Amino acid sequence: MNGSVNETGALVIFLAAIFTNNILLTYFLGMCSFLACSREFPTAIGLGAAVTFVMTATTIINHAVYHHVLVAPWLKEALGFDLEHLQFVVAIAVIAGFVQLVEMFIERFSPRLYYALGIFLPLITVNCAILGVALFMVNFGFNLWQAAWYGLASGLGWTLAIILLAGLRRKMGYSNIPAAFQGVSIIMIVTGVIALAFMGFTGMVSLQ
Amino acid sequence: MKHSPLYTILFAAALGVACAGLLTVVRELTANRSEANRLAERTRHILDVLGIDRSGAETSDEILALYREHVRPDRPENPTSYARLEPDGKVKAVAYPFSGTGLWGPIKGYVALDPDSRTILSVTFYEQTETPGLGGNIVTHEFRSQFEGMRIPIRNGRAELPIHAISGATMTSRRVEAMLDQAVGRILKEGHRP
Amino acid sequence: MSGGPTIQGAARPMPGTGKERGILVLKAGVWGNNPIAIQILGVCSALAVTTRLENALVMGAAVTFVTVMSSLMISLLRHWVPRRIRMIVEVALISTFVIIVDQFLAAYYWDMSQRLGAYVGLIITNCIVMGRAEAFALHEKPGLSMIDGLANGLGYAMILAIIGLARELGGTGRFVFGDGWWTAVAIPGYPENHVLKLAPGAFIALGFLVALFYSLGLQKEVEARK
Repeated sequence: MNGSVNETGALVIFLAAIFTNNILLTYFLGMCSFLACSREFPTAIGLGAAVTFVMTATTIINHAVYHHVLVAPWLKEALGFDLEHLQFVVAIAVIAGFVQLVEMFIERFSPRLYYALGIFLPLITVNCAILGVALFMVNFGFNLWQAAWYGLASGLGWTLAIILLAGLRRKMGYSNIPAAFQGVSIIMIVTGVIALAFMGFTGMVSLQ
Repeated sequence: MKHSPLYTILFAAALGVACAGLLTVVRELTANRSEANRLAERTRHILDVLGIDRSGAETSDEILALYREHVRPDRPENPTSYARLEPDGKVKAVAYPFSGTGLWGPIKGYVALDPDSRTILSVTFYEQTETPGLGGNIVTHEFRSQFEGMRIPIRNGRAELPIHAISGATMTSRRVEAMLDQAVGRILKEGHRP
Repeated sequence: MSGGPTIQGAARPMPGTGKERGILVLKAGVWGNNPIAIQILGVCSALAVTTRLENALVMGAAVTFVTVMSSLMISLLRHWVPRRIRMIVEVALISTFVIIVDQFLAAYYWDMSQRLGAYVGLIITNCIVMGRAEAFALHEKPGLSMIDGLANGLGYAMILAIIGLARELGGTGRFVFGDGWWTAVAIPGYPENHVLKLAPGAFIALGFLVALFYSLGLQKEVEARK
């Protein structure tokens, strides 16, 4: 499977990653920060933007590292084996390093933005959606161009989900929710209904 | 507690080496088995489509042994086709991989042909993510049994297999038909006996 | 990275003897401070792999192993880890154990490895593992940290097992282990229920399970601790 060339067009990947293969609603990734930060709109949008940015950049970087270092022919020749089994740890290291760099960059050049984003950045490093997208990208056998679109669209899809949930949570503030269902429970059920709605997009496009 | 930068670097380096070392050791210990599993995964389907009974083979090693016993690559220049070894030495079944796009994702499988009589012997699907219960039923015996002994009609240079669709799964069935038409047509055109 | 994500359930000084503390920690991890229901961590995989009971059990075991081992290592190293690279060290250790699990599954439990796929690798970002490392293992002795890791792992596994049970039973009417080497046919003639098997069913199942736990008094325990 890893040897085959994936011939999906960029537009299909883009639409599929947002609607039919949404990284959160279909693959359940990125729930933790999603649950913590979906209470208010500005928070949700801010986190979504940050996640999208990091996801796109790190997917591109991870693609390059995977194909040109970990499983590259020159490495196999030099060492006698490839480093494919280090895929996970290298991917997370890239993400952590990138977020650290971004944080230092923002702190230096825009203290205001830094204070606004401050708490998000560490949260993003452990956001399973970002690591997940990097790993799925390898599984789908994308080339660099496809991987870039996949990263961007997955981020946008995740942002869409979190914004939807933030909006719904505001509305739920006016509802009478039974005690046992308050908190995690009702959020999960509502997300399930959103996921059900997104299933209506099936057949529109498919991610090959 | 504050540590000097040098300490930080040394610590990081030592940890990195320790982890990478541990992982490489584990990899060495497990590589043989996981490689065998990976190979057996693909081999399982080739055995199935060629009609080789693998009910006795449980482990990956047994499956690979069956493969070595009953199958050989059909043509050296085309390593993805596999011929079943017959006692009389003739070739009666050759397996070819095919793939295409289904409704939800890629569909991949093997088709076994009898090269001389232009008949399909069997079809297996080893990868599909169609709707469970509808398109997903292409893997069931009910759907696949229609392929056994199916003659391949050629019209206008293209194969047009008379496939019965699954009711309720028109799209998946159409796509399967299209990809099999294409694969079989290509195989017959390229020919397999010199 | 300054600070880190705020993780609930930060350690407080605990009363009693070593054994009493151990039991307290054990109970907290499994029930009172349950990682999924209370700390709201590790939800991603709880939804993704619970289509079958077997998958849920293996995932629960894998996460427990990783949490125990990484909590142990981090606790052992806690006085030597430079503050600046604290999180990277945690991630490196966690990744190492996750990869070990992944390699073992690929070698000895291939079918499960295929079914769990990338979700094994995603244990690295499972907030439970990192969360316990930050909140507990960094401050406590190795023995207690191991118990905490075990407790949280078991708490997580318990929820996964229940959801897996519900989804497999509700979705297909029976349990299947392996390729069917053990099938317990629970309900004959059961129609396939796809909603439970697919994503929305998972969310909704988890929602109802948490509500059930709350109504069983879990919430009161949390309130009492505050």
